[in-house]
Amino acid sequence: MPTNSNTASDAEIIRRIIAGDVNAFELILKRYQGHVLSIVKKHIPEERIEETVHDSFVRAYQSLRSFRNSDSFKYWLSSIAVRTCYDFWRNRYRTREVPMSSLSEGQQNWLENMVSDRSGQSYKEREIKQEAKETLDWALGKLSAEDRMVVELVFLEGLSGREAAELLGWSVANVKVRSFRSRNKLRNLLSKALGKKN
Amino acid sequence: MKFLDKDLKKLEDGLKEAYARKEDIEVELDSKWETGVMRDIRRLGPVNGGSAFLFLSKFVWRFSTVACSVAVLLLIYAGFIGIDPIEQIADMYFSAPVELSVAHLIGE
Repeated sequence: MPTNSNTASDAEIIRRIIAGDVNAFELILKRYQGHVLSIVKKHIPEERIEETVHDSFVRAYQSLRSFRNSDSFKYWLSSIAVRTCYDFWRNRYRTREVPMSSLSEGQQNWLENMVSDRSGQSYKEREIKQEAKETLDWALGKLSAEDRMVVELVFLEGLSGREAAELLGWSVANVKVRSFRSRNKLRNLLSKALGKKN
Repeated sequence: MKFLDKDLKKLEDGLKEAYARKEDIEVELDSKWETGVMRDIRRLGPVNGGSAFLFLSKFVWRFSTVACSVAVLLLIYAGFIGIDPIEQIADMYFSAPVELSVAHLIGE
């Protein structure tokens, strides 16, 4: 049984893990931690990223028997990472940890400046970035966990309905309907924040 | 409305940019983090090493619908043939009084 198999295929490593070689999982961890991290940091608050990547790998290990060798392991792991992020938000909404605050003055300024084309003139770039990020967090925080994930995957990331459905484990129809509704919710939120009637 | 749509488009584009910038967040997963993950993995044990209880628990929910349907059908059947649960319990009580059951249990 090879032990220094940095070049071993995913299928080979998985076969070893399933055969009882728990330590072989370290190869998977080293190989894919960057990939899982890149997914998780787009969906999770900065202070919880490490913990969520950790949870994603533990979950992947526990589900390893359900992996079929005909599928791409990277894609399978991506779907586990996305579902772990979704569960994070579901849990957070259930325990009511999501702040329901209104827009701060800076965020309100960002909205107004974006609309009035003054974004590049009177604002320092760093401030704009921070306020844009806070406004995004504020808007996403107003959506349910399901809507949030669909908005992030379909609208903000630009995935197709089918791709998002596969990652989340939902039906394509569900994703499409939710995508349409959640984008409208987002637009309504932004309209209200700007003080205009849609 | 047209003006509003244009405004919203600008805001949405701004939010998309903010979202794309999340990729620039610097998080380093160091060896300490790796050790922590592997410690949890080792604690879980081999993938195939689950107990019989855990193995069975996977199938329990698959049969829950059937079990519930059977329970409902039995309830309907019991109601249909006129079984009265209170009457049944009263019957059991008179045929095997509580004192006697307790005495059986403590082995007297």
